[in-house]
Amino acid sequence: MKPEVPPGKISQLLRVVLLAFLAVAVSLLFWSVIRAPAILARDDNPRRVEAELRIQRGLIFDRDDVVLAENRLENGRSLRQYPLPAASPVVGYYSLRHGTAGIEESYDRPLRGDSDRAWQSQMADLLHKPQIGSNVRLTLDAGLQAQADSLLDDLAGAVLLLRLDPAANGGEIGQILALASHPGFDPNRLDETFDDLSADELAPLLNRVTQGQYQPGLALQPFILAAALDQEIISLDDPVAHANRPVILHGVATYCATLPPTEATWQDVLTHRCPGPMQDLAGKLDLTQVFTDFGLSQAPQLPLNTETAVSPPPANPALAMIGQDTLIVTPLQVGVAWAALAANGRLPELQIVNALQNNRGNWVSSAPETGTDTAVSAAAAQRVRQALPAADNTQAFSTLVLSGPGGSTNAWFLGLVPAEQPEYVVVVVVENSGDLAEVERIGGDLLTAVIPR
Amino acid sequence: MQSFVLEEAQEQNGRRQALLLLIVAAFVLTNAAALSLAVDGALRWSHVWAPLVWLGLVGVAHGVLHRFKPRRDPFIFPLAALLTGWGLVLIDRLAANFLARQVIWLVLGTAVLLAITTLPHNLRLLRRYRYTWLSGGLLLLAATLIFGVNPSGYGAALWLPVPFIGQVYFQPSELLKLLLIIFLASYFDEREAMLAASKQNGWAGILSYLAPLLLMWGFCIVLLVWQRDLGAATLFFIVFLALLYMATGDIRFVLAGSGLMLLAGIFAYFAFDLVALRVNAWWNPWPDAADRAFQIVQSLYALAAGGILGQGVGQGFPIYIPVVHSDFIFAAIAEEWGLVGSLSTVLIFVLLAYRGLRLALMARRPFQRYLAAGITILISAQALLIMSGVTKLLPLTGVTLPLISYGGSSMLINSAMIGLLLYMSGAVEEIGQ
Repeated sequence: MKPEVPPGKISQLLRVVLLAFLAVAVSLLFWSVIRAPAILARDDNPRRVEAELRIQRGLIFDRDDVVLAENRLENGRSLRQYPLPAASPVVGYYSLRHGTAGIEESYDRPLRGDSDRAWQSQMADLLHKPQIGSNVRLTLDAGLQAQADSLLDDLAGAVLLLRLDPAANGGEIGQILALASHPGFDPNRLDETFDDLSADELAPLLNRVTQGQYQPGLALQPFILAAALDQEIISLDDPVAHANRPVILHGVATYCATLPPTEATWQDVLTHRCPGPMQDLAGKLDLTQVFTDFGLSQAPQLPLNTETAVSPPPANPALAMIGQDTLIVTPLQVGVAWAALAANGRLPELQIVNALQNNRGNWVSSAPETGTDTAVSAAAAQRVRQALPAADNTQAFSTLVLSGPGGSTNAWFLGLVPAEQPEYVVVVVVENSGDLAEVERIGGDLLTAVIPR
Repeated sequence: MQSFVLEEAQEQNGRRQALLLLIVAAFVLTNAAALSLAVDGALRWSHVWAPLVWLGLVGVAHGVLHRFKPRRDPFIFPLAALLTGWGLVLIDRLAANFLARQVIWLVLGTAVLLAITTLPHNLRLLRRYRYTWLSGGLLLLAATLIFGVNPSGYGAALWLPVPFIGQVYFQPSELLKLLLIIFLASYFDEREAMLAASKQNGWAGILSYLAPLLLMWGFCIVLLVWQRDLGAATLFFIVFLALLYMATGDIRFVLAGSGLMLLAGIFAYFAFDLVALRVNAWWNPWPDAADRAFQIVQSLYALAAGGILGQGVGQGFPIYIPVVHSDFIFAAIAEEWGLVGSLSTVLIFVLLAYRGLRLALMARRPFQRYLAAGITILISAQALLIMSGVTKLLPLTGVTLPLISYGGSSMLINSAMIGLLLYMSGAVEEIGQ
């Protein structure tokens, strides 16, 4: 009779096996549940990219529902396309490799369809519902944006076109119809060109309208004179002695842009863009307050990356009066100030997003809340506007601004239309330009394009 | 009256297996359909044909088992069928180009399973010619040293080309696993009485008892280590220790064996780059996540992505894991079926282990007892090793998940082992309950 294996040994083996499987189960629980959130959040997890590619990002439209950003499905993956690359300064880009910019960045959550409610996200995840983002409608006009972009052509500079829209509370909204920045980039080719774009000295990724830092020069003249009028320091009919007297800047004598009459007034100073008499106002006007009132020392509220230099108080009041001191501005800030003059002194709130589409397909307005801040009185604003030369129902102010010790100049154009009751305002800057006709052509063409509207 | 009760019990046994198989079939076919819908948006023949072939094989096997082994364990075959069916869905999902080949191996495996289950006296042949069988297996394994290839074109050359068929390879170490279990079972069966006597002579007596055994086992280990098939070597060690413990009841053998295994592991760490790489990747994979620890890190991502309920079949990204259809198929289950799916897989192997060891417990003959326990321990240990590797519980050992992973030799030998379990379960007097 052979001895048999005691049953206890097999039972013990079974217990060991069961314990080992239990250890596997605990390990599964650890990695699948307890450690899962930390693991999934790691940057090198390719599933994050895959999940991102499955998101059907919302579309971006212009004010007339022309598509500015859409998706192309390829092998179940959603690829972002931009039918109007010229809109890139506003629309920005969405890239897995390089992130987001512009509206794609500031409206990333609604465009992705991220829910603020945790339980909704959990339920959608549980049911494997595709993540579909909300559509965004901008105030941008695709036609005008394309035209602004094409007018800049190969020039380096910025164009801003606003439409003034009075708000119910007496405030003013400045809807952005066109916002062009050159040189720019094609968001459809961002991944392949990003390194070159980043290394380019002309900074094509910089949005010159919202981030470009420019010496304002005499582009400040209408605002300073409006403030001086408002505070009754001058009257436009007051005589000005030696209006064409020179101002020495970096060793260069600067005179009026056009020759004023011998017996000139403050209106002639404005019309002929004379720097000399402006310096007479130094010490009579609180420039820091004037700049604040016109929104030149703070960043406008806009869902785009804006840059505002923190300017110290004027160090040389005489130079500050001709915009050659410490104040640095963006074309966007000048646009706000210019729009304030056009809107009878009311400082406008800027609007770039018109509406958001909710998950039931309805458009929900995104109009900004407007205040009732004024830069100057309506009378002062109107008086300055009336003093500006008018042609074809448009009014314009253009000037060359010394942009640095090297003697290079930037050309500025501020225009509005119609002259009687301004509805559209435009600001154009062309870098390294000594030709006012060039910037006036760009601004004038754009204003002509909006007149029939 | 007794005959009537027995027939009634057999009928009940058959109905129970049929019911379980229906549930299994519903699971497999539903998942195949879900995969088709997820991947192609419609029911496509390319996703359905393999599960239908599987269904046919399961139906035939059930009929044959019902006819020839009415007293078989009613759980073992449905559990194995669930693993193979699920495996086919996974291979279609992860490496569809291997699906047809896997189906062919499944057909062969089922034929082997049924042959073993139905042919008479097969255990006697196995027991009597244990040295011949094992030597044959060793010869085949040794042949890989000269003729061995790796079908993927790189890595250890563990396969032999099957003559006249072309592009079909067989892995002798898989066969050797079964042959070694047969050898051990037969050896312990025959020498149990001798063991009792040798124990009285102290260590010398025990060593003389174990000497032939250690010699044959040592051959296997040396060959496997030579071939860098360390996963199979580890499995052999575990099975050997388990059966030795069953035979001797002496925990000191297990402790000594475990100590040896640890020493061997330390030696292997310094001797083999592959082992050092796997141990380092196991200890802290994150610093090397993009390179040498890529596989285990991707596996952990798969587990995390699966969460509790999973991404759904065809909707996760397990294909980021290299060789996912073979060594890492468990990670794919965890990602697409979630914790529910992975724990279910663990449970299936637990049930298989329970039924197998219960069979060992109930076996009337020691050979059957050792054989059933050896097979069960082997299947369980293999599943445990790869599951532990995938979940970073242990370093990776590079073995397949039995009956699920892609691998022809593995499918064939695992089917043979399931066949042996079914054969033995049909021979015990009690109906498996």
